[in-house]
Amino acid sequence: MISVIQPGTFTTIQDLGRVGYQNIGVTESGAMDQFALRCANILVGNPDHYAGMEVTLFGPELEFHEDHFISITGADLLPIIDGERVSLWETIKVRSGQKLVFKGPQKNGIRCYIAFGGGIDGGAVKEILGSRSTYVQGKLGGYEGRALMTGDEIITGNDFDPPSDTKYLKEIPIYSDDVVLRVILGPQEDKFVNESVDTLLSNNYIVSANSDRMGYRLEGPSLKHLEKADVISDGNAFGVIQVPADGLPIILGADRGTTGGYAKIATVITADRGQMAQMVPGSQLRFEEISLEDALSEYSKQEQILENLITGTTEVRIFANEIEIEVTGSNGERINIPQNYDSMSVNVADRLNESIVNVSFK
Amino acid sequence: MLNKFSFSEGAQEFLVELRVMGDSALSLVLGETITPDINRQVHRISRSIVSRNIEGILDVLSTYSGIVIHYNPLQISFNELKNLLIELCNGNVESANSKTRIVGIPTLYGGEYGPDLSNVSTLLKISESDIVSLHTGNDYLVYGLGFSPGFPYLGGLSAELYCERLATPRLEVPIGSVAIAETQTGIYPISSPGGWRLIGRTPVKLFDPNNERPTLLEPGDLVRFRSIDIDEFNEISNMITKNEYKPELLT
Repeated sequence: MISVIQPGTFTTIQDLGRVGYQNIGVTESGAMDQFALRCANILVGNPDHYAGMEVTLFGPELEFHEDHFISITGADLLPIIDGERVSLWETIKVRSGQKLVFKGPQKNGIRCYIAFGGGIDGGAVKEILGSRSTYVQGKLGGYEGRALMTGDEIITGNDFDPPSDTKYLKEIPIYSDDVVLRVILGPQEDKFVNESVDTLLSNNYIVSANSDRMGYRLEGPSLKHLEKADVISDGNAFGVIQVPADGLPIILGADRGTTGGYAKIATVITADRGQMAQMVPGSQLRFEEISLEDALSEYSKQEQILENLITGTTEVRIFANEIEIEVTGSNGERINIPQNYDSMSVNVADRLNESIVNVSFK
Repeated sequence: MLNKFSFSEGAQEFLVELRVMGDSALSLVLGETITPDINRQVHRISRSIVSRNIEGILDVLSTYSGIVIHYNPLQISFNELKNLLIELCNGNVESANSKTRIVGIPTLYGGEYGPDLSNVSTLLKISESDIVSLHTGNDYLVYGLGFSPGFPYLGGLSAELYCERLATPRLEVPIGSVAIAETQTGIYPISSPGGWRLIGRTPVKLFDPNNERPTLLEPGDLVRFRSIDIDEFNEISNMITKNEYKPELLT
């Protein structure tokens, strides 16, 4: 069991969200930064969809009453165990009696994720409509449908593969206060005057303080509708940019309404969801157009990073012909990589059953 | 564009347009008007997508005149989805639902419970009591549930009550608020931000996730509003708290 000594600014239980209930108006919820939560889960040996904590701004103080595997990913909110800073994006072993505290946000990024081996499950936290995610507006799911409070008791499950070794993510996402979000135009860009698409793509916007898990209100040049802002209410996706009559764009988040009646000019791509989720009020923001094809290739790349973290696959790039490479695992096994490849992947999990300790060029 | 096609049912032809909503959702648009015929097609197509259980399709959301499909593009591509939708749109016609339910919604109009009733009255130059008569005078078809858990999109609002949404949405609309916007009326089942004009409030619970049927209303139901006073409002609230309230089902 883990007890909540202090809840922090806004700490909620989230998994990958409620899927399949939008037709009765129940929105997805789930982690804003899904990449970070999925990484956190993988690092402690959980399936990537398990429930963890989404921590916003100032983190909680937690006391562990058993030994646990945990990991902290996403924004650096300065996590400390027993007076010492702990690393993000890697497996951490905590012992019974230890406390985790957060000293507060650094310059960039606003949300971090804590995964616990076995995931948060049991006690007050049950699956509701297919998910353990908290939807605070709907008082639904998570811990009694609300953010965590002092005195709450967190129970973890047993169904996971305790990691035998410390895992860590090599390519850590970098968050900035000058964010570029890539967008695909539509679904209703034709409801705006032509110049408004240019306005959206060529100006800086500022993330307003009035932003939360439902959406980010932006300040900047206003956009003009051809006739009016209202359309017949239709569905909303994560990252869709709706524009009400005042012309100021709102990017919708995980707790958005499933449908809405304002014209939508563009949609942020899935691969940039993490960057979007880490925007801090006051951040500067630009939009860049991207094709559906390129968006999917960015999406695949991100999935590959997660896949590699699960299997231990390491991509070895050979940039010149006629160079031989040797990969050595921690158990001393060696694999010679054939020459004359521009690049290739070696599945270390399959061929070495251990992690890579050495890569040498012959 | 290649993303347009049509299908027909009997003598009626329906035009369909597919639009991308980012890389993981697509919007199927059946028209820009609210008609019961189009809405029937929406629910037919939506049900046939769900019943196929296709890998990669995550969520299917139907609205007045369109469907938004949330999908995993690494499992099913936009073009594969498009071909599937063309097939399903042209698929078999379903028989109409057997019996239509009429659900009564007791509503306290105006005052602090309907803070926009007076400004709607000024805007439309119709007295508050006439607005209430117009609003309770029609039965409304539940075109879909969306925006928030159990929020019913109700069609059939009197043309005399047409008024635009608020230019800036309210940050918090109280639970149970009965509202109008353009040709639509609806009820907020949970408190949430919202841009519709609030003319009244119902004590009735529209959403309960612990219930086997989490929503009171379902697409295809008819809703009939009934004007109540503060005493009846409190009485019904008490019954709901004690779990003694039975929904007003009329047929």
